[in-house]
Amino acid sequence: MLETGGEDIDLFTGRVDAEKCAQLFRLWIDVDTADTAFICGPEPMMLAIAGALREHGMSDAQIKFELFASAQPGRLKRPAKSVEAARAGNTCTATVTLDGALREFTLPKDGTTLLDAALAADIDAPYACKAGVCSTCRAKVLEGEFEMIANHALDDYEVERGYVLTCQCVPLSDRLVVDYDQ
Amino acid sequence: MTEEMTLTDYLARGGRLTSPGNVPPRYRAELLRLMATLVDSMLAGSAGFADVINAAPGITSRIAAARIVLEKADHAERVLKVMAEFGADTGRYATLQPWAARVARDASLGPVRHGGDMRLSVFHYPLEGWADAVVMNVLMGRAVGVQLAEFERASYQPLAEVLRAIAPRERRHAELGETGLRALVAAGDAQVQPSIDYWLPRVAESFGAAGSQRFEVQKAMGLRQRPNEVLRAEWEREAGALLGELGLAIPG
Repeated sequence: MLETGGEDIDLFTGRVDAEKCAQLFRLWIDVDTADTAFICGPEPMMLAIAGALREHGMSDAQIKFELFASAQPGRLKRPAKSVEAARAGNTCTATVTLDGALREFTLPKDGTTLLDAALAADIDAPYACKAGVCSTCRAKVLEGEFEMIANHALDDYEVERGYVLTCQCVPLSDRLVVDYDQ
Repeated sequence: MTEEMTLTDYLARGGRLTSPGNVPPRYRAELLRLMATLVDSMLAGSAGFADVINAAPGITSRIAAARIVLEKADHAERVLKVMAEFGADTGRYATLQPWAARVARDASLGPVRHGGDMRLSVFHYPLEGWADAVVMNVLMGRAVGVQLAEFERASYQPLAEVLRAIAPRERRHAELGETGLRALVAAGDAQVQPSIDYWLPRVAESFGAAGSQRFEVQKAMGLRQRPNEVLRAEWEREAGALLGELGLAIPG
């Protein structure tokens, strides 16, 4: 039916919304006998269908979203190298972006990790295990050189893109620019 | 996200994220923090209860304690598997911390992180004997019920699914504790009331501070719905009703 005449019927064309759900549930689909609903499509449509299913008595546990959108930016730039600007002093000036806010602080190049220095500077940087295992503290280095003491969590492609475990990140250059928002 | 809707709007309206591939960086960090707290609390809870098995007064109670130790470790593993999808090394994670380690009984930690792991502060305090363990399990069991009901609605679908699956077994742990507590009360065990006086404020602290900034961040991401103080009040009502029914006093 959908193949032959579906396009002429409003109910079967265009985006599914709450109104169409109401018609579908009245005429075509018996929500009460369904075990689980799988929703896939543009976000507003998924929300509208989920809302309609809830109104018809389905629980959150029965409604499965399948989201294909990617939050990762397309092409990531390689971290800018500032080798020649590095290695002179015994301290590093770190610039950290978190929730859109830029903060600058200095840390000694004595093995102090970027995370510890950020926490000491009252930045609410994310972390959990502090052992390079869980990856909660992951951030992206945009500029500067560093050493990652241990890495039991990041894949090679993440490291290649400049991601670092900040709990294991010891600066080598005098300047380090790091972003938790990327 | 599509052009017509931002991620923030999508999550604010009850949208779900379904894999590490569609989770943005700050959401990723908050989600991993949340999961680390759950895993560490379950591992520490399981490890702390292991010693209690040998303090059990009978075979049925021994089996109940052993089951709690077993299943809480299993629940930790299930959440850790969700963390592994983000890259966490599960093998190393499981042995990272001394999960059985406890502070002195009279220590006062407050609702803050202590030591190297993310367990709720209540799991840093030591259990002292069978009655004490039963009381802690009953009070914390009710708290876990309230907290799991909150996290089951989290916007990260794979985590919500794991938590829904473990919730009935966690509920059963609380029921096993209540059976044990009723038996202790019926026998007139003198340790019950002092243990309630000890554990009630410490379990209350596990809900976190009122007016928490962290909650606002998590709420915007759909990871939380109801503030700490509301969850805590719900638990206080539940625990208060149970203690009242058993003729036990609620410490002021």
